Amino acid sequence: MKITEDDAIIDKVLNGNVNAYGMIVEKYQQPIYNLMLRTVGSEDKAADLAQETFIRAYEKLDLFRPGNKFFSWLYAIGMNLARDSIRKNKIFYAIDNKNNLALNDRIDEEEHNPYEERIEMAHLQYALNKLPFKEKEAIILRYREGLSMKDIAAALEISVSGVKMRIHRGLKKLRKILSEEG
Amino acid sequence: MKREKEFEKIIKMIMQIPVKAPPGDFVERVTERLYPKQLSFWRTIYRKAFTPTTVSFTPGKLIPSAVAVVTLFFIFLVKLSPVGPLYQVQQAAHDINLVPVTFALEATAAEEVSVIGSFNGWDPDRHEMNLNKETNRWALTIMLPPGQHEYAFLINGEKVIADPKSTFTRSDGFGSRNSVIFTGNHSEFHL
Repeated sequence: MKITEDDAIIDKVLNGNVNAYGMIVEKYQQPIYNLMLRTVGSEDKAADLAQETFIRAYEKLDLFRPGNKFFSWLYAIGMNLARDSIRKNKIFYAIDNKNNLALNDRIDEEEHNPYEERIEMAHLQYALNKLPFKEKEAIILRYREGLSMKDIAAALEISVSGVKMRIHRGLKKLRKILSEEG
Repeated sequence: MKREKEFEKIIKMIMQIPVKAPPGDFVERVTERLYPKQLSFWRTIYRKAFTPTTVSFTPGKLIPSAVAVVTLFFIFLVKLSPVGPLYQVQQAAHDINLVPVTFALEATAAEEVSVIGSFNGWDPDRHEMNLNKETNRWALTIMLPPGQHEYAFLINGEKVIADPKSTFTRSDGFGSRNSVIFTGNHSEFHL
């Protein structure tokens, strides 16, 4: 375990440098915002929850242990907030209209993606939204964010074998949903 | 095989899931809500204790330190030893020529008697004598290197007396006298 760039920035933040925290926010805003977007669907709500995640992390920053992966720690806070939000609002945010996703989420990339590809991607996102929360996030963190099993385990607050199991089970479910829906 | 290929395709698609950029003023919206942090003394200590630290060194530059550590260790060992360094050196040199010497004292009223001397650093715990009830004598045999040794008896842990039967005595510089014995190769002294 060695000291990382994040550790050095966090050290500055803990010594009263608020602006240094801006570098952390800048670095991780996208994956956290997209986590919320996948969870709540609405951009405004996603931005609020992502903002709340960074504020919560700032408040608890002195509890973060140097040498650990900051992103996993931050993601765990985001996951808890996302889950609380689902429970509190009792709304199933997941977008279950696959065509809706295809039209709304890919609009700015339309020119670069053939229609078939967009439909496939929409199917995939639809299938992902059918997975249990932790299965979906384990798969996203593994293949979209490229995290190690250990870091995913820290982010989801489960064991490494739990991560492996969820990824395997999740992939099987995705395959099944996609073959049925496709 | 088909299943594996399907998995591969799904994974490839997951890797290409589009991500959306957060609002442009996201960073400002977060940082404007923050206040400067001030860690408590104990929290600072805690963080320092758990922050990984990299230590680098040049092996060549460590040699003087290593020599100093070994020297200190040796000095420490010598200091810890119940007998003085001079005695240790003598002992090492004469281990093969040690001479058995029996010390004896008639002191029936004593509860415990030790022989103390230059050979044991005047340590009362090193050579406690044994009472022979048949002869009513306190006695102890010790292996000593050749040479001359000053000694005395310590009775009941308090009273120091010279050997009443010794031929030679020497002033201790404080008004009392110590007994002196001479030991040599192939000789044995019974006092």
